[in-house]
Amino acid sequence: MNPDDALQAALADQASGAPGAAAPVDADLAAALALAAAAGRTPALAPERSTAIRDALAAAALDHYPPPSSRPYWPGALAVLAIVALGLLAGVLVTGRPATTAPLADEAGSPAPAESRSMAVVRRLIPASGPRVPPRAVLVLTMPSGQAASGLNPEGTGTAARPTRPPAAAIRAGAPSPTAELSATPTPVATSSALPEIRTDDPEHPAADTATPTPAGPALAGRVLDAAGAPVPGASVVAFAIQPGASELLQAEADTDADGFYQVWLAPGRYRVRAGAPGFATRYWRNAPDEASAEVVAVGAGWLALEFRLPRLEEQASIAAAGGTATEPAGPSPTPPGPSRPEQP
Amino acid sequence: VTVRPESPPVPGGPVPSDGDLVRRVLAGEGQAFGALYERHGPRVERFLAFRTRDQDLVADLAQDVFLRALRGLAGLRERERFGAWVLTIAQRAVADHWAAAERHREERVQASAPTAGWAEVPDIGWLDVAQAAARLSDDHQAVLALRFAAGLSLEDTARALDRSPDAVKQLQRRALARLRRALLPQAEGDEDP
Repeated sequence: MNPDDALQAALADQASGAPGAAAPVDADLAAALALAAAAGRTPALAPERSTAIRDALAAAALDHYPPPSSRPYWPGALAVLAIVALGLLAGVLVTGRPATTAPLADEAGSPAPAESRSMAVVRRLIPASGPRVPPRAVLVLTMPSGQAASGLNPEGTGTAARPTRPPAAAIRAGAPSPTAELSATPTPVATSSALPEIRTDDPEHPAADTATPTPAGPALAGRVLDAAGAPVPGASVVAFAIQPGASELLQAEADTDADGFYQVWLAPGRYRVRAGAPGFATRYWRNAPDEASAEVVAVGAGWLALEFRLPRLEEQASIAAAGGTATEPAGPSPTPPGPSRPEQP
Repeated sequence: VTVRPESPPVPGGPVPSDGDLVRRVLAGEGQAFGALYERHGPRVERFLAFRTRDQDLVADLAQDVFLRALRGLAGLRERERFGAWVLTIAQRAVADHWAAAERHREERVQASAPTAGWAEVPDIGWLDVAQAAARLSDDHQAVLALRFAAGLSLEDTARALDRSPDAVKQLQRRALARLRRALLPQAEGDEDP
């Protein structure tokens, strides 16, 4: 018998309170039994001493991991205020018109719930009035407490707390044709409300990582431009989740606004991202004509700026007719500010 | 000698798992860490008592062990294995303590009198064994204390000592043989490679 097994059997017999049943088979086991018996009699600390230690540890734990409500938020609030001020200033300088502010709301128009304390401060300081404006870019700021700050319009045309339910995450069945909403007061994202919405908790359309909660901010943001660098309004940007052992799922879709800007809200995971528009060739990230050559985009805690350049269909036809290959538009390279970066599959 | 239960019953509701308690600590519920100490403290104290035989030192080291655990709690991936993990920390804490007191090592090994607090323990059988174990090498003491005083599994002991389970099994066998000779000097026919 393996000495360890014999020992365990003897100890188990002893623990079951059957004296004699654990007759040691050799001297090693006798020593082991004496040891186990002695260990069982090893005294713990006196209760009052343990209680003192327990209380000290509980206090230390509270010190080390304070509850969210008591975590200091003023450094984060100051940082947000500073960036808001810079954004407003930049907006005035660039556009020459004063900034307006508009709280973003979800598609139903209800105010964004669960506002952070920092944003509450911002909101108190900045009147929540004016027309709704689409955010042109989103700045994600990680505050010392680990909370994510909210969106900021670099044109100075708005500050907003993010809705917890992203409007751009309106996930639609099928692949609807892009519908641009080029109205005078465009919504943050163009949506085609006629199509049924699929929530990410839909069992038939699971999110890429169901254990991960809906992110607090858009995972992808950027512009869709034509080959000459002009914005493509109404282009459709679609993210397909890559799941091992399953076909790729349409995960989220967003349309560009009048200036070609889009935001896509995604849970962390791996995606292929495609942009397309009527009259333009479809492109996968990064500048890939088809899915096979697409680069996988890894979405993490931060967000990625992806700029798509779509060649016009007639351009592509003329290039093909000339026997040449489509040249890579020399767009600015994406600048992932977060920890996640696009990676090669 | 006061024996505290390993897992004190929690009034009202199911007993939270170690993982639940760890999550609650990280969420800012300090009392949950007190509960983790109540649950795993006795085993850690027993392990420390076996290695040090000094009640004051046990109290100090137990607190130090749990404070180290607190600092590393956010990085603990297998939260349900908090108990085994904290004993790994205890093993390191003891090693650190003896390393710091290396120059007093001989005094420590030769010390025979139990120190403050436990002299009045009526059944001092455990002290005989613990003192016999104290004459073993550090490795042998560690494996016996983790396996018998703390009740860790072979696999968890192997993790705590950073060795393979087979190596720990071998180490335990040799440690027991040595202990037997220490306890029963008249024993003969030892095969201790």
